Amino acid sequence: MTTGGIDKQSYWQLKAVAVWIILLVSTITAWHESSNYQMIAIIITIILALIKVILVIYSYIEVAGAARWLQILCGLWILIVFGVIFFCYTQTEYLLSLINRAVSL
Amino acid sequence: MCLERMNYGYSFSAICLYFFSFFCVWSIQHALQPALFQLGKTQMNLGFGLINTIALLTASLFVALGLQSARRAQYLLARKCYIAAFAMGLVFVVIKFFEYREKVFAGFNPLNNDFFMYYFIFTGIHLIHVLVGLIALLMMIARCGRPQASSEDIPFLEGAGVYWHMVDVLWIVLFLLIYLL
Repeated sequence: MTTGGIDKQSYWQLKAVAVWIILLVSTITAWHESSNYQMIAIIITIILALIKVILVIYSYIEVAGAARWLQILCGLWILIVFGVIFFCYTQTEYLLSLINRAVSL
Repeated sequence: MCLERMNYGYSFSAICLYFFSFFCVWSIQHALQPALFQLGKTQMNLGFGLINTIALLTASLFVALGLQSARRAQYLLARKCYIAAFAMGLVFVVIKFFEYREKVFAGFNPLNNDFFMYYFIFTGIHLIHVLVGLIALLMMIARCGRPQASSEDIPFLEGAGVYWHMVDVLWIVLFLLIYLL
């Protein structure tokens, strides 16, 4: 079975390797940014990790080709995990005020 | 990989949920004790963390390639991919051993403070999952090496593969929280 001169297996192998290269580049970029404590560097680092998680789940675990409910479930898990991380690291003062309010109740 | 066909759903969901609780605990503790967690981060060996991340990502690539080969009945090629993934997993375990050794020799242990307590607990539990993944990879290697390897082995290869990728995903988030932020 060929598609434009490339058989399906070669296409899939190339795709897997391309994803791996993106994962490595994201990892090294995030590692490079880790010594920078500015808020923009923190946001970039979180977004790079988010991209990596999406790529592994939807490409390597093949959730992109799975049932719709599974795609939504995985998407929700990613959204909640990174939502919590993003909130805790970028809205620290608001989080602390929420915790103080909860404790004083 | 047709997760819905597999019986692993409940255990995978449980792993995702309790690691989610780890991520919440770490993030909230970081907000509550920013000075302690920033100081703790400076004690982390970023080089070890980077090599471990690359090792797990590379292992995931080989697991994905192995499954594609097995689906096309190229079991010997799949076996080679799984052996390469196993080697990458071993690299992770060995680096982790040296990292723990470095911490213990430097006087850091789980009783020092909250940072090191959570660091040892969360990475330790993740390491146990990696060891389970390595056992699964050995079983995948054995299955692909049998002369009677057939398409009946594919669901097992898919399930074990999903498990390995999940261990990788969880490490990506742990690497972000412990080493990078």
